[in-house]
Amino acid sequence: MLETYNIILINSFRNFKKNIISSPTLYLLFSSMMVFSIFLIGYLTLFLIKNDVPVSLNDVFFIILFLFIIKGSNDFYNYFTKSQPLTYSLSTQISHFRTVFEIFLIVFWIQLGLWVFFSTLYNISLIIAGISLSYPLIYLNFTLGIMLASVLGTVIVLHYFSKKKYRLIPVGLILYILSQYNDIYSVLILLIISFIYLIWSLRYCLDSYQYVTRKDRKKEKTQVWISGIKKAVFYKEITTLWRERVLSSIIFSAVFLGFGAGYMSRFGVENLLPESLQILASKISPESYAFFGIYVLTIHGAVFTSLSLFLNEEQTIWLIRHLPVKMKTIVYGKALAILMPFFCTIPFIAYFLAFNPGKSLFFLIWFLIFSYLAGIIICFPLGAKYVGKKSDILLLYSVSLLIFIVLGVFFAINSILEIFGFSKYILYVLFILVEIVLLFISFKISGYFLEIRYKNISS
Amino acid sequence: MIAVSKLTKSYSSTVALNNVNFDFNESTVTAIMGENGAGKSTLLKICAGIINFNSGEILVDGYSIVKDSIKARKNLGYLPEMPYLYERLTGQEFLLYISSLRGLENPEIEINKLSDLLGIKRFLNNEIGSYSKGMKQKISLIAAIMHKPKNLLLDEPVWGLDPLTSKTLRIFIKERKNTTIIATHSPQLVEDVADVVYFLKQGNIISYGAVSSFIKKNGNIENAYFSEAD
Repeated sequence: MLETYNIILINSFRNFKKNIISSPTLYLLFSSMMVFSIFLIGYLTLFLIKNDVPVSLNDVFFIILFLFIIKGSNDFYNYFTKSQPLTYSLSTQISHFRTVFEIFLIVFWIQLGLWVFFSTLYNISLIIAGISLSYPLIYLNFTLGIMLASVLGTVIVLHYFSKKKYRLIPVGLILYILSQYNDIYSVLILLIISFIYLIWSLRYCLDSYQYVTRKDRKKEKTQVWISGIKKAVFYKEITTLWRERVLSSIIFSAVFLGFGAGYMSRFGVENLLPESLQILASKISPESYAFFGIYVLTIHGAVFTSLSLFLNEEQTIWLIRHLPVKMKTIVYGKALAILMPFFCTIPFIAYFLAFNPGKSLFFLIWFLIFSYLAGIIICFPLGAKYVGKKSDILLLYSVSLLIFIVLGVFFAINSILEIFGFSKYILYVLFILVEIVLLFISFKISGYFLEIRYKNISS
Repeated sequence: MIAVSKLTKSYSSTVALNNVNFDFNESTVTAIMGENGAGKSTLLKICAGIINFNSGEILVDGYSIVKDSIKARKNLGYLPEMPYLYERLTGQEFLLYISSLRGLENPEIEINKLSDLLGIKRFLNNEIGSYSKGMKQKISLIAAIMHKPKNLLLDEPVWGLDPLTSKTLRIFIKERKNTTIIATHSPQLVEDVADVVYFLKQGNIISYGAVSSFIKKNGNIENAYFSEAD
């Protein structure tokens, strides 16, 4: 019993242990950023309570549910859909249903484990802040929600990566009912229904295992030879980013964030946000809306994409290393490719200014460029250093918080300068110049990390 | 021509290659045989400039893989044991990308010729992510030989290939006039294409010599392998 379950858990635990031993600094950074962010949320809770802002538990419930559905889907996809070693378990006399159900159990326990860990830390931060805790039923409701998220995440992967995507319709129905009724009894009933739906879905589990489609790309313009290494790397990276829909998702984010931030800062938040958040939102300045919008765009366009450019080389690093090419040149090719996502973020400025014509165009452009460059400066060397070693979520999370702190500091400096009436334009230009210098140093370090270092060889 | 002298490579406490010397001469097909973990793939990876080593020297056409790495890799083709490629590119895009990095002019002719020869031409416009193991092996093989390298390193070259492609590859290797190194477990492949064979065990060379002399002494390479391994 539970052979696959046990083996995957042992393997994951050993991988985790090995990673901590091989890169203690990264894990220390990740852990401290994790604790920092939980305490930040705890502080935000305290802030909301002190300012008499009623927090809607429904909104919190849905945010947490949404995050855990994504995590559950991602885990199930990794442990099942794209897992090669699973072929051995699936080829034994044990039923496929049982094997895949064991994988669901792994996802289920990981989700619950994370929930218990983070909610405990959050509760500790609230106790430290002096907030009394007495909500066992709400906690139970949220816990049932996490279980539901594991089930839904699993069935989403089972049907999304199959030819019969219409089988996903019940997921939409369940989420709709949940949006109308999310008290503890409703969540419990929906959990039972979802579980039955999962059991039914597992009958078709092989439809999605190692699901691939053969797409003919004969007519595309990319099937041509390109002269020059940097240009070739640029084309290859852009093609990949386009096909993985990274570029289109950045354009969508830029338009959505620009529209949302612009609208809210111009017309207020009535009819857009839940009533509980309207008071808080009304206190936020237009510049702060711009700050949050640009921050999210930087994470999406610069941080996520820069890390992907390197971490996606995990299995293919042998290719670029055995070719007669300097790694510095490869890095410059990737640097050219990262320009494209930047252009995709520009609609943010247009949409934001459409609602706030009086606001400084110069500041917005400067802050977008400044944030974007900061993201690349930090992420390129980290991506190059951890090629083939670390999961991108670990780096993404750590770097996102680092960038938040860096941008927050520079945003505060800008506000202080404004209060004291300093001419900021010279400083703006100066900051960008310093960043350009740092950018080239960052590329150099990235090339150094990618290159094999033979320095310890004795002849 | 590749000269390996006093090469040592260890992974933590495990010694993969222990102070070994090899001379891979021009117009010679050299096979490396040995049990799993004997150091065959490690040797090829080091010669291709992919992984680091602890001590020794590697000269590819007289260029050090450490000091003149770019020049050394210029005339080198490498086929890895596991052909991991860019899954989102099509076979054609991938081969064009590699030829751009190698600075080849008009590579389309060679790509067409080789893909036709290896029977992969009709799949060239599909994304590599949808390829089977053998198809990836073929694309990887074209990438390794399309620039007509003087030195060719092949790690388990016929693994995953269909019989016809395997035969084509054997003929190709046999007819090559330059340095070829093959890491393999297949005694038949060694007999078919190799001039010289090295037997490795736990990172040490236990025996080496002309394939013909081993066959003369033991009947075939399989017997020679077991006899030397004992």
